[in-house]
Amino acid sequence: MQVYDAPLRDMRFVLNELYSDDGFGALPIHAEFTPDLTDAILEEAAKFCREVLLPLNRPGDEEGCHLENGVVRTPAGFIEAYKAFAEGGWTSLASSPEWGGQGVPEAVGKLVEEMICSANLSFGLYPGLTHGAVCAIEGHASDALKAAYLPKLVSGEWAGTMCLTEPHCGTDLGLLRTRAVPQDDGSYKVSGAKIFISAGEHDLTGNIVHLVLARLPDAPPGIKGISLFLVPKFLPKEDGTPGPRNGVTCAAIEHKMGLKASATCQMLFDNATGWLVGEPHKGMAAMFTMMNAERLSVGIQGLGVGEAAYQSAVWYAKDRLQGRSLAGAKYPDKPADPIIVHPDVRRMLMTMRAYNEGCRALSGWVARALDAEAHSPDPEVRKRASDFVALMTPVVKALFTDLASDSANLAIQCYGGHGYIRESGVEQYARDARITMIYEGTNGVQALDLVGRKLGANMGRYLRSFFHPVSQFIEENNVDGPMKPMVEGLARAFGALQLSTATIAQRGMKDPEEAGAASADYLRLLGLVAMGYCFAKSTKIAGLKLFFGAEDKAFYDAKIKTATYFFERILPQATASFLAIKAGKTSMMALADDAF
Amino acid sequence: MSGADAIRKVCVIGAGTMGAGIAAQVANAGIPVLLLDILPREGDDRDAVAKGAVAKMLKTDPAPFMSKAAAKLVETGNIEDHLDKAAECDWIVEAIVERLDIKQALYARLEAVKRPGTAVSSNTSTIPLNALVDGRGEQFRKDFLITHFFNPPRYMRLIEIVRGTETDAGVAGRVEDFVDRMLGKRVVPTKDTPGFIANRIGTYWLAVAVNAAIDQGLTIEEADQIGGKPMGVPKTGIFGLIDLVGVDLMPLLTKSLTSTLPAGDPYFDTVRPMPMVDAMIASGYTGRKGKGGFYAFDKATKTKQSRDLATGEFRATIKPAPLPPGTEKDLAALVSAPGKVGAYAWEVLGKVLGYAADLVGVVADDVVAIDDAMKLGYNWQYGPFELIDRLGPGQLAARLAAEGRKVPVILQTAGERPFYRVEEGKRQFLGTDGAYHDVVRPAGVLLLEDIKLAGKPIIKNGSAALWDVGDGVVALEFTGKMNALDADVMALIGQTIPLVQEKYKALVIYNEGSNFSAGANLGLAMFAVNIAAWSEIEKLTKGGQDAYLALKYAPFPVVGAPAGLALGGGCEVLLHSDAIQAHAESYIGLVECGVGLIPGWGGCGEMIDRWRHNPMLPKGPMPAVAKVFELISTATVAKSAAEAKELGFLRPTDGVSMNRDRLLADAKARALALAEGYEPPQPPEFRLPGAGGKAALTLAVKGFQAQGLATPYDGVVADALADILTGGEADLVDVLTEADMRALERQSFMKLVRDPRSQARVEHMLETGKPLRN
Amino acid sequence: MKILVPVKRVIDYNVKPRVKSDGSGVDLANVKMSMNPFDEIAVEEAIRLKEKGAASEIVAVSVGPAKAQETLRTALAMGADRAVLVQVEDGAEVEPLAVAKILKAVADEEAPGLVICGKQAIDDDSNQVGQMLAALLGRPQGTFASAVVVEGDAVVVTREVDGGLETVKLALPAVVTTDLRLNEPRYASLPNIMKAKSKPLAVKSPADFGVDVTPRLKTLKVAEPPVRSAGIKVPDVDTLVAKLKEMGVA
Repeated sequence: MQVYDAPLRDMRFVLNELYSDDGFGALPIHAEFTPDLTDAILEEAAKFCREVLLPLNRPGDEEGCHLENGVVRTPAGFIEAYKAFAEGGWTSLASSPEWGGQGVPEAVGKLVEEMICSANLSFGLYPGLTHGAVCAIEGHASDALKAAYLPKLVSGEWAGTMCLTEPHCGTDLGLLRTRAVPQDDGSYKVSGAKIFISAGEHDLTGNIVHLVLARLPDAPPGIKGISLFLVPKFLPKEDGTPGPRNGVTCAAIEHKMGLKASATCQMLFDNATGWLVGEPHKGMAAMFTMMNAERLSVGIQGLGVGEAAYQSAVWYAKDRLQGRSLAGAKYPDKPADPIIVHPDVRRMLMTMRAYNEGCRALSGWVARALDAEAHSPDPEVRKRASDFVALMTPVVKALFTDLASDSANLAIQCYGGHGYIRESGVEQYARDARITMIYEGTNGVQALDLVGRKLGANMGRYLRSFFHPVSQFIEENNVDGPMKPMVEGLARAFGALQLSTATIAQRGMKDPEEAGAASADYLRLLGLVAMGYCFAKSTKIAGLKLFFGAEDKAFYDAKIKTATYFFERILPQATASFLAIKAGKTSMMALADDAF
Repeated sequence: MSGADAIRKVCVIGAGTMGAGIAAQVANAGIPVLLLDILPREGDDRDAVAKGAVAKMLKTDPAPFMSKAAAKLVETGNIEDHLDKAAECDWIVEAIVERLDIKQALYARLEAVKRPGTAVSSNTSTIPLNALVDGRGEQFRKDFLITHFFNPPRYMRLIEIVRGTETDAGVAGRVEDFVDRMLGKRVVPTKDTPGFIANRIGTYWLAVAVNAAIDQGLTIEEADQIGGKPMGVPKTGIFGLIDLVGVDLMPLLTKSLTSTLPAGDPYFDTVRPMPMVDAMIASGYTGRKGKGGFYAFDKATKTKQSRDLATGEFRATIKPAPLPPGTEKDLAALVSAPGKVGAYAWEVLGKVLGYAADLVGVVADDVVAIDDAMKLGYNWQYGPFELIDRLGPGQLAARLAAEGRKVPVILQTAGERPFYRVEEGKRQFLGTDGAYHDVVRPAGVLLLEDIKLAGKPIIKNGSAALWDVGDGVVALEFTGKMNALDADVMALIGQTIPLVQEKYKALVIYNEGSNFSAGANLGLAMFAVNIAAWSEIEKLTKGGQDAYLALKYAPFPVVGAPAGLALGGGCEVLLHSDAIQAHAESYIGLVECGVGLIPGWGGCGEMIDRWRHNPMLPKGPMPAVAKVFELISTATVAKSAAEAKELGFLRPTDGVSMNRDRLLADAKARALALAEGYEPPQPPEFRLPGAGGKAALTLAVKGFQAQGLATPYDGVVADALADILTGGEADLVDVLTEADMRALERQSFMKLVRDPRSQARVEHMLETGKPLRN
Repeated sequence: MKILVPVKRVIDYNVKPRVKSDGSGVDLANVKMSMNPFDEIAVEEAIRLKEKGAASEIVAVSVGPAKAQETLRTALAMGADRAVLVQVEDGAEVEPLAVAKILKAVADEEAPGLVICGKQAIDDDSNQVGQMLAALLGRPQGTFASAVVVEGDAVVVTREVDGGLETVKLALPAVVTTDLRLNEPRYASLPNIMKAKSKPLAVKSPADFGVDVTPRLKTLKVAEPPVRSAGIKVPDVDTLVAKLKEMGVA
């Protein structure tokens, strides 16, 4: 059964307790959003997710989207849910108040995002892409375009999309062919075909605003000749309301493995009227604003699905009576013990739990950096925060989604045969989670981004924003006491990370293939160390709270036990990653292409 | 008797930029010089013109004098009262206005007073020698030659020397030897033709490049992009170079060359009215010395401006589109590139290289002289014939022929053969006779470049190599990017010591990079800092200290031979050498404080050891410590070898080589001299002033801070430095060993390197090349 | 017209209550607490009346510990205009009569045209406060409302009674208690949650109103309901009848 109740206690821990010293200093925006206010926001969001979005998740998966006469019909209930979502002000959560948004800190916004993705990932994509479009327009478009489109996108009245992929080009956008021809009135005529366009067409909003990558007639070839255009489904009239239909149509929707309630469209642009966003030929820069934000969001999607899978597995492990505990019956009054008594079921549950808590703590750190990047009065802090976000974006994207897929599979395993049949609902998590490893740049591309663009840039400056806090934590806490084994474990893994970093920097300089061969393992290693750091920090805080007699003893106690599990049963994988990196590319590249 | 010994006093007549600069360079060599000029138009001081020139030079940057002491060797005077003094000199250099009649009149007066055998030379750049000596007697003509220096005389290494048909070989030889050894110039023998070599080809090149840019409708940015880096021209490009040397020089050169070049010279084809250039000069846009030239910096908008060649007006500089792939490194690809890139490149290279090829045998006997002149006189990275080799001599000839242009004889002679080749480890050039000849270095010149052609290093790794330079001496060469020092360098030093001990007599530390070493590889260090690899950084610090100490106590002499920058760790390796033979143009200093660090490879202790043996200082531990603190905390860099002696980076006994080409030979000779009965030095012991002394040092820094001359963090860095120099916890009764000093260095270094403010400094230096004042 | 809405902070309806091991009560430590669902319906109804123009101001009031402020903020986020907390010590039991007395005092001060409260709180299910309050105020009451319509200076209340529906018309001011089917409470919107932060919330004490809250009842023991033994399946009606007879229930 799909079970989900937002883990509010852990979220509050991440939001209010874990990062009292995140190194970014106090931010006015965080002071303004006091714990009682953020509690109210999180609770209301949790309620909405549990009561409105979660019940639509499985029916939406069963029903899917339908294309009829060029119109995409979303599953039953989605229109009403979207209306309530927009009216509740959730579409504008983290948007700027200038355009009608609520200006909620990312540190809170990312937690709400997680809840939405836990409850109904397909649903979450519709407002999620709109938010990406808002970022790109806000960052790069003319004032006139901003005024015309942002208020309606922020309010959720209209939705947005990102149109990048074409049938012959995905990762390598330099090949794209969609054309834009300038018109006398300053607009452009956009023509071409785009595929894999999430929310490209649907019945939730009165208009859909497409952000389209295309080439101008005088564009240089390759990635440096791509511009970004805003192409609405309906051209706005003088009064701003949707007017005549533009030359944008949905030709087909994809039949996918999962995420079925999200419409993935093939879009045709036929002399569609559009407007340039940003400078000519600088479309990739504008698109990357959006893409980086989206990449973090995809990581959060992974975490969301991982949490839902975990909760559903816990429910079943407590409910399902089967056999007896190896240590003798634990529930003698029942015909059998619930399967949660079995070590291997525990292994699966603890692993999922540790993944989710670790990822949530890490994303909380990144979200605070996003806030610091946008709001800190100190330029040095803004730079450091921006470095940290840049470094962690590929890690959050790839690590969280890899782990989410693992969690979804473990959840199915907990259910046994019942997990494999549709009625249980958990197999949907595996299908939904799978795409998060692929879109917005496959996890392989993320790993290359990490070793290729982030590791060596500016003599490793991005790394400093992460390596220094970890190193400092190890030094400060490497003292005798209950935390010693944990800090030593962290120090070992961190040492492996340092050595791997130096090795890749050295080898990669001479041979880029070496960096490529190490990339996936390196991303995992860095991610494990980051989670380890978050768990060690969590343990320290939980320990202090217990020592000073906090009332929420059970929570802190569980936090320490989960952290201990992570250190003893998951972090050792860092050694495996390290050994793989050390081995270099040879065995990976040895077999001739023809021998495959 | 060699020139270096025979010429003990020099007279320079004419105290303009060139004359004064030549006089300064003579003084830099430690030779007394008499600088004469005409009487001033007004005032009582009859020597005012020459005096004024010296005073002006003391304020000029880059400085013509290598030290203030050198300026004292210049004696000033005037040609009305002191020509008899000139007669007592061993060499008289004339550097007055470029007018034949005035020069001839001066020579007539000199002829009347000078001793037979005293060399007289003119620094003319255009007037033929025969015209200059017209009307002089036989003795004067025997003693006369042309010595054409380039501006500024201290820094430009080229000298073109023209011997007349009657010039006495002994007289000319002495002058050539003197300018080579004492003034550090490379002598290029030149024929007596207008503009000699460098200006003849250089002026033609500039004219062709400017005309072609106008004719082909290129922007100056495009012209400088195509005609700059790909052709190995300094990064200023063509228009930038004209701005640098002065726009107003262009019509002067044109006038001079058109009045002296033989009819039919291709140069005449380039001459055309240049209303834009005339207007620029008239309105004060004479280049960098004026309000700007082809480029200017608009202070109001803080933007770089460029002149539009069509309208002559300024507009914002536009960065041109990147060159087609591959054309930056491949000349053949460049000239055949489609569109304006190939067209412009071929127009310039085809004409200029063809012109140069036609001048072999006319302006100089061989291609080597022409290449040397262009490389040293115009800072070309490649000489014309090296460029032809990169383009392909056959291809150049074929394209010239295909376009119906004259194919120079030397190109016909070459055919498909290159102008340079390496045969049995020797560099050879193609002579006009069609045969290859060895490139011959002057006696006593030893270049690693030549040694490398002949063999392989004894050992090497990614950052250093060890070469056998003959006679039992080996040279340690830094080979990393910018000759930066890293763990590999230290490792190679470790390998070197037993090797030299076993098979050789002595070691010199030498390389032929443009800089000896600007210090530790900061980029690598920053990476280690960024990944918080503190223990690795400490290991590298200790490793450097150990390697340098091993050099110091090695059982054979070690001679450091720097040229160019020797900063930070590059300075410290010198401080550990038994002796230094420095090129005069060595810029030595411990600059670590500039990036928020302190010398960590033994520099602190070594500097104290040098200064406490300085007899000029009062006794007691404090004066030396205070002096070293001042030098290091302000990151003082000596602006010459002479200044390095004054600042204690060099010992009074250390040697200075004026000629870069002779540095290795001089260093080797010094090393061999030390090898006889060599014994390693005794380890020093230090008695340092302790906490009281530290308080005195930091008080000074607080004073600077109060005046706003030092930032708060400067105070932190100075404090860490003071900790080392005053002996940390120790006080006067404690004796500190060398090991103690190095431990203090490591302690302070690790403290600073972990401070984010030091990290910000290092990062800023790496990104901008400038220090950060945080 | 002003509407007064009393709200109570209770254990969340999703949470399975656990009895303390000593049987002294329900364990509330670290248990999720929310607004009593019937009170939510009351707040919603008040907001709807205001939206229809039948009311001008909504005042939410709660008697409870300091943390009951959160519950009042929820009411404010839903749309109440201001709030009053009559604060008692954490863990103090306030019995229905004391609550009703306090509410009477608040009503005397505020002079509302209508008091809408939940019919009962889901923690102790007393179902007394509304009725007591009406009596203390000497006002008409319409309990278990499934529809509320204000008509001039009267309110028409449709009541859910055992036999069906009963409609009563009460002269204002009056007291109404809500039943489950009256309405479906809205979700607080994000802008309203943020606005709620700055809406006025007054904190008072029972002493301010001269009410003694000392308990008059004594809890002897709290116990979980006995676990129901598992049922059995029977194949047909005849067997069922036989079984029932056998068990002596038919």
